[in-house]
Amino acid sequence: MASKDSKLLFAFIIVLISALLPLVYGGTYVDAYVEIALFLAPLLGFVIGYYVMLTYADETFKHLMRPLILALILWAMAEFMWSVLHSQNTEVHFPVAAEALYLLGFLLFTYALIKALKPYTTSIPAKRYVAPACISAALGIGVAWYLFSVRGVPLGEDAGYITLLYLCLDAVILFLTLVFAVSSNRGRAEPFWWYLVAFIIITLAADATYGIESVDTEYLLGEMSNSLYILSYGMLLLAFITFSSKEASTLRQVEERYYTLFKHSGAPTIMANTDNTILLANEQFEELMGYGKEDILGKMKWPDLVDAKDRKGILLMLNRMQNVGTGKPLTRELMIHKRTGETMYASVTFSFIPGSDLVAITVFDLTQRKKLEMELKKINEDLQNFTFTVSHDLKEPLRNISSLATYLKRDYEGQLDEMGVEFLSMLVTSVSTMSQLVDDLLTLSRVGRKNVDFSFVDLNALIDEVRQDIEKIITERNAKIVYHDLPKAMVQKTWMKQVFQNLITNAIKFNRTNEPTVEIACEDHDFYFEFRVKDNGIGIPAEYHDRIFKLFEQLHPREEYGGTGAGLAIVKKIIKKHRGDIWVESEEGVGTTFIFTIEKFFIGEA
Amino acid sequence: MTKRGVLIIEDNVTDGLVIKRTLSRHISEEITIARDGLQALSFFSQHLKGDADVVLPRLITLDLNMPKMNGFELLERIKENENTKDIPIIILTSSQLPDEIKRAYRLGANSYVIKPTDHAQYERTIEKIYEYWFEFSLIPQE
Repeated sequence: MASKDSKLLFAFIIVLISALLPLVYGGTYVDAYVEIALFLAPLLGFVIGYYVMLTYADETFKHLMRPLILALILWAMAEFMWSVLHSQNTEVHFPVAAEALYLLGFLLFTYALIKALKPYTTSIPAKRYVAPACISAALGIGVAWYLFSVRGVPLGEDAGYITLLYLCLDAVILFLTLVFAVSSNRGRAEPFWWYLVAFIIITLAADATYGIESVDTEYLLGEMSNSLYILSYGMLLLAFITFSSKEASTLRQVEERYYTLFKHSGAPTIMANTDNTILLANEQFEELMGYGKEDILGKMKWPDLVDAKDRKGILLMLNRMQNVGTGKPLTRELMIHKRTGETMYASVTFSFIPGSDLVAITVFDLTQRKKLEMELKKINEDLQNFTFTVSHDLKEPLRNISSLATYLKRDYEGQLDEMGVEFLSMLVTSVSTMSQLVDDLLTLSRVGRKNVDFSFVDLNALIDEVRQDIEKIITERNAKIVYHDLPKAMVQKTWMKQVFQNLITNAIKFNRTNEPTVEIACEDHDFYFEFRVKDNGIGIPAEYHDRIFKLFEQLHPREEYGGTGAGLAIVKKIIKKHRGDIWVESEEGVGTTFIFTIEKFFIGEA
Repeated sequence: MTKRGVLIIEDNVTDGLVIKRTLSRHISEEITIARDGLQALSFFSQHLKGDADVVLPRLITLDLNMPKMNGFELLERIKENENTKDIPIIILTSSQLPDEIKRAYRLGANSYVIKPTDHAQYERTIEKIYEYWFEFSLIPQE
């Protein structure tokens, strides 16, 4: 604070000394009021601008303000030179030094604006440049035409081309300030920019009047041009004052805070526009990916960093999200390519920024976690392979026992007593049950195995196939299966058939009515399909709603309904592989509805 | 001359027995069981040496997982040999790995059948094989 105050004090002293200069120098000039006003206006602008800059401007605005207030000093000096020349009644037609100072000030102002605009050029859509360019070009050319053609200002003389030069600079500055005003990339146009626009338009008018003055020396015109200059400085002052208004400064501070958060959050983050071009990236992102700012900003599109297999899915999903506009962020695990060519598993969060075309993308490196996951997966796979091998190898002796028991029964039945025959029958039944269990175990372990291909499958056709496969039980039980308008979905066909087969068979099996009915319906949600398989069967008591999905869990004695208790465990495992979930709603004696979801935009196997 | 029968190449004693028993209900020709690849090869070489008692089979059932020489190697040998390559070979195995199925057909297997776990189904499967290869299909004469 102390440094700011001392800076301000220093500025005041300079201004005070400057303000005293004309009194010392040109106190004799009679019409000095206007001259003094013209001199004091930029000085006042400098003081207020300097104060505002130190107090309210963030880093970005300081870059703009510094050259601007410097320009004001230059203009004040130019005015001072004019007034000195006038006061001494020197016949100088073209005061080079004064005009040079004016020009230098304008050039500084232009430079500052271009520099301020540069970081945003990529985020401002090209169409937003059109109107400002047209307006400023039309105004510049129009005024020039009026001056040189209609009023006959001699173009070839000093006053002629200095006026032309001013007009050009005015038009350029008008263009730049208009671009800012119509598309303040911070999401809203600020009055600051509109006052700057007003400033430059009035300056343009003053410059034009100044041009006319060289051919039409009426006293009034000279006064008018001076008044306009003073008015234009007034606009600059207003611009500075709005800049310091509470609302604007609060907003800026808030934005500054967000920007700081973005920069230093520690989370590698980028901002991208609707054509996926990266506009901003924080250091953590650059560090993580191995790219520098110059490689990324405005050049790189973020989907290029995503592995090809995940790219299409995530773009589809984002597109859908944008259309729906839930405003919720989306997080997905994606494979990301670094600059070095290394791949990285990352949890990537996409958040659309309301009221803008921007999306913030945060990347969390999951490589370490993924490594552990892979190890776990490997163990799981080993376990699954083990289950597969064991159940596979169990089948051979089982088959042998089944064969031998059958031969024993067939060939030696006469030599056994009643009890012996009974035991043999029990042996055959047990072997049959066990082979069913082993078969289910095999199916379950197969779902966990790799090498699965997902494709778009018409589920109406799929259920038709299921219906044919289980035709026997359908006819036996006089069952009805109702479904229509099921969608096409991204599924593993064999597994999905298994899901519907198990659910439909259960629905028919656990049913005491004369006409078991299974209704299959699908609800289309934004990101997933929700299927409901509803029956009019015996129902499941609430306390068993979780247990039924466990392996080999049976609610009813095997003798009554058969089965091994693996069916729903298999179903659940398949649904999980489709990134979905399954649960049950049921009322005893009324019926059961199995509800499951599957993700629509399938990105890799779960 | 003895009529051509069936060669069962199967290391599992019970499986061999089941295949033989089921087939012998329908055919009277000689049904031979080889316990592994080497036994099967020596069976063929006996025939080629001119042993009149050994007749080339008109059908071979082949298990894939066997000790000493596995089914694929044997399959390749049989299909490479001028004398034996025309004999239809039915793979009868419990493995249903897609890669193995593809490999078997590439090597010239004529059919690939899974052994059912349940005995009744097992018998039905073998009877179907009999029907297809003995009642419907014609095979080249020796």
